[in-house]
Amino acid sequence: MGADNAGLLDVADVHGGYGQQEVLRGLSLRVRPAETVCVIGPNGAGKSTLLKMVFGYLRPARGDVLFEGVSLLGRRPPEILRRGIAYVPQGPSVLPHLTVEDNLELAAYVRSDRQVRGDVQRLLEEFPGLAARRRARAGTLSGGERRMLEIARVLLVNPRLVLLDEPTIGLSVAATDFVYAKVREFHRRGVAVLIVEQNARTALRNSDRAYVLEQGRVRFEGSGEEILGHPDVRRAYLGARA
Amino acid sequence: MSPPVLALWIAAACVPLAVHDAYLMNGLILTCIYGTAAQAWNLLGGYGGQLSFGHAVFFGAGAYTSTLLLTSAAVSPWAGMWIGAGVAAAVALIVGYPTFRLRRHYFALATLALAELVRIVVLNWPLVGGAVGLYLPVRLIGRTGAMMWRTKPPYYELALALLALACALAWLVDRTRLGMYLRAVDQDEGAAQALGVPTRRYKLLAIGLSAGLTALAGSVFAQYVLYIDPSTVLDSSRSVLFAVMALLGGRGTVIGPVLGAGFLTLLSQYAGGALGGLGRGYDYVLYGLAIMLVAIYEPRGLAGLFAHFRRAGGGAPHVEPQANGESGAAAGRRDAGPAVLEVQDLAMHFGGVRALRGVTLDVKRGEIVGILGPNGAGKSTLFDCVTGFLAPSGGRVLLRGGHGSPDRRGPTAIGGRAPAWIAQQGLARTFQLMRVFPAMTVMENLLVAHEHRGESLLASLTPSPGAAHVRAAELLHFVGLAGHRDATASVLSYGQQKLLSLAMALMRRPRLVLLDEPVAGVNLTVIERIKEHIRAQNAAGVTFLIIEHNMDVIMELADRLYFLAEGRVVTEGAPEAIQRNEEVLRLYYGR
Amino acid sequence: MDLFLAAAVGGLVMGLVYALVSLGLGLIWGVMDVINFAHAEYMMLAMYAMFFANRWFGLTPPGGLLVIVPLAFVAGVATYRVLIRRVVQAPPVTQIFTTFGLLFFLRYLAFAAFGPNYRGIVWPAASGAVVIAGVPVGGEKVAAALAALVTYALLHAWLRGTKTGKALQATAQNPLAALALGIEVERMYALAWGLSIASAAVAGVFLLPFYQASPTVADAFVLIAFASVVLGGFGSLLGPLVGGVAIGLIEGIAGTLLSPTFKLVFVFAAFLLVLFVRPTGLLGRATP
Repeated sequence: MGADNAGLLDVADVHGGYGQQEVLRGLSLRVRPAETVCVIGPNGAGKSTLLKMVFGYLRPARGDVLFEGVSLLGRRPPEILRRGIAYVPQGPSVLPHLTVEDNLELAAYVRSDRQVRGDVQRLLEEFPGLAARRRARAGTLSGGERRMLEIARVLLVNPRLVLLDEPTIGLSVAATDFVYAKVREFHRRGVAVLIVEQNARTALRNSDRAYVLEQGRVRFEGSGEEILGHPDVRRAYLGARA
Repeated sequence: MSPPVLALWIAAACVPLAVHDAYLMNGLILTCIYGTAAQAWNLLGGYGGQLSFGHAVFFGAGAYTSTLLLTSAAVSPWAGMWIGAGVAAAVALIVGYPTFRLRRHYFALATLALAELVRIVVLNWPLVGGAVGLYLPVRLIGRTGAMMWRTKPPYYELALALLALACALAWLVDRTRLGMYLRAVDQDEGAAQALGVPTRRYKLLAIGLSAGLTALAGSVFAQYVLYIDPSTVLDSSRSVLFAVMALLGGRGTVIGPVLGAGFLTLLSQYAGGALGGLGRGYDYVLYGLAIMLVAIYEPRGLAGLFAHFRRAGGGAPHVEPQANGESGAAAGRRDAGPAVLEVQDLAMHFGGVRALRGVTLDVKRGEIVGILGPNGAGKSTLFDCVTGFLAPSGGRVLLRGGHGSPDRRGPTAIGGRAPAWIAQQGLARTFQLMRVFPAMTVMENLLVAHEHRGESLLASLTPSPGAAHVRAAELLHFVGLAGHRDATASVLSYGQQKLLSLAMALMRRPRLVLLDEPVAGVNLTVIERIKEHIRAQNAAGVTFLIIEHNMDVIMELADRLYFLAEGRVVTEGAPEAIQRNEEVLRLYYGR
Repeated sequence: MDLFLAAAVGGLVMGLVYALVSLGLGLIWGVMDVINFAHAEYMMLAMYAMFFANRWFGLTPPGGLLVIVPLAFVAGVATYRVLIRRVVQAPPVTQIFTTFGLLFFLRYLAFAAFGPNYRGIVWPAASGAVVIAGVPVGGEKVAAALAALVTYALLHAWLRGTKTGKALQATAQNPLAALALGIEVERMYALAWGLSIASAAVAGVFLLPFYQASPTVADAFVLIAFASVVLGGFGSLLGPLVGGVAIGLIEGIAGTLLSPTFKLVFVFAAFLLVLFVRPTGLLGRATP
């Protein structure tokens, strides 16, 4: 593995799951700097588990996760955040009884510089939907607004890699488009993105590369377009007989 | 009862022949009385895990009832104490009924509050002595009919007999189904209900027995100390004492409360002298430490030191399974029969979320029906509504065939009924987050899963029937866990636990089995085995409704599939049709 | 009417004291769903600390605060680090017995160290009656009620206004999300324990001038503290405040107008009613 080939994120032959469960069965993938990579596949394939292992919520039973060449194993989420990886979980992760503004400020928890206030204001200008609700409790936001908030939070810590776990689940078409507009913006800013999606087509269209997961392993790998048109992907989703 | 244990009791009964020191005899008598109360507490809190900090109410109920009957109506305490036990049991049932709904912490607080409430009422009620208390008529001393003697040995024998009764009761619970059911309630009440165990009934039985026994101890206590008042028999420190004795000695064991009572009573009598003689409570500081250590590290307490008194699972002999390894219901053809389950327009809303918006589906007898769909489609919610863990907001759930002859009876509406009742109608389920009873053996897990319909309270005080053991052994053999029958469930691997939970669902020969992601999280070998087991059971006539994401497995197993998304059935059909269905692909695969 | 007013004012003042005692209990309960049965024992220890601070150094409550509260904070953090963190994920039985053992341990430590006798102090600066709405109330009690209000106000401002305060709120609302934002949940739990015990210490320090210390003094407050938290609801810092005042008022008014000897009966009856009917309490948000 030459230095110029090394990934920003390298997942190497990872096995494991929650506790003793076997969800990932030897999964390897790579995300290069500033790349947008999506991971698709049916439920139970291990997509969310993968992200949780990268971010330190779970520990692999075997295998390694390397970020910029350094192993992340055994490190807890706050530390991994400080190393430059941000994570947006699948379910709601806003703090429901705090205001939108407070949620944003807290997102900069690991930053100690004085520019946080200014950055929060700038961010609210970028996300007009949120600015209008800045003093509302985050628990009262709609699903789309909530996602916006969760993605906005990520921008405050200037990560080098963003992990998005099914960001468009349950969202309207407009909200989904907005999310992917932001993903493209990450790309422009040189931030790598690893997206896990069940709604695969939109993700594939917006990604440089894609992996198709099945039963805890990578089945196919290729560019976004290649995977989009690949006939075998349907089989991965719906079983061998198709 | 084994010879060594019998010998111990006999030796204990002979103690007054050897011991003449009044101080020591006093300690022994109190040990027996408190030990009885601790053992009583153990029935509810040790086995059942329902921590009561208000047992002083029952202790006081016994003491006050028998004393009042004696002083005002000249009723002999030999009768009075049983009346007191009855009073205490009645109070327990009335109190237990609403409080058992509460979470454990709240139950503990509620019992504490109730006990304090009673204490204050009695403290201010002159009719029962108020703060002054009640004196027992000392002129009756020496009359056995009045349960009063001049010397200590008769009190000792009485207290010992009471302790023996308490231990016999605990031994009975420990060895019979009741103990298993209580442990199941302690470890996972919801899972027990899903297996058809009527948990509230057993909790009430436990608290009733516990209260009655504690009251007996209270009566004997009154007869011994000859004076009672709220601070001696109704104080919260008494409640705590009983609980702590059971805990330190080892909750959920027969010998634990006895050890705990002996330890705390005798040692505090004598250690107070050893530790500087100031009686300043250094010993209790150590007890505090001991309680914390026991709670965190060794729940079996002092009894953990006696671990070689290990119980066998339900006390039944090892039974060999029948030869053929396939153990479904009476063999039937696999043609689909009439509908076993009908879900009509089922709706479920909670907290502004509409999880199910009118789901209609059916499962015919002998079929394997699969449910597919993306995350958040409402699949597990559907299961919860069908099995009684959620009460539907709308629509109907009908089960046909109930128990007894398959089609003679009309359909039964099961929506909104309690989980245990629904399970007894012939429905079984597993959970997505797998639930077995971690601190019970594999065999015990299966025995708890045996049929509960028509099981009387009295029956629960007997060991599991032979038929249950035979069936369990068959299933163990069927899923390949025969070699692990005495292993504690928590030491099994995830895959083995999944097999166990499948076996548990099959124990009652259910009409319909609902499996929630039966092959998630297990290795490929176990996946194959589970697939084969489901096939074999289906061939023998068991109907399945399965939520599963593993396409290879579900496409092969299912006769029909329903595809759920956003709380509705989007489409249904045979696997081939679903696989070619564009809308399904779009829903899964995206725009 | 005068009687009612006197009862209400007295009940309100006492209710604020109860609220102060319950503050820490509710904090831990809300942040990590642990019920600390030993909470009032820490208050008892603080009362003894105040006693000795007064006897040896002539300190009165304000001075005592400066010394005792920081010590209490450290004790709270230490309790978490040494003991509680081992049972945060444990089943309810284990948690209940662990804090119960702690209760035993602390109480009998006090017995051993201080003996069973009652101890009190005199606080000349606060003695004498303060008239509120025409009702005379003991100065020491009023001081304690004021201390309660100040403590709640400070804590409220801290939680709402500082980064760490908001981080603590985040930890209570969604620990996994908090981790994802870089908040060290373990540290937040330790901090919550420090604050909890520190607030119990404030209660103890101000209680001593009008309520004598003994190793069993906690008994009189334990159930009331639980009742305050449950009644007021948790998830919100102000829950125990509302609950404590409610309990004080129930005790005062029912006690004066209906029956003094049974005043606690009314309190406990109200507590049980809330437990059965609305376990989330008056202000509470549903706890999962």
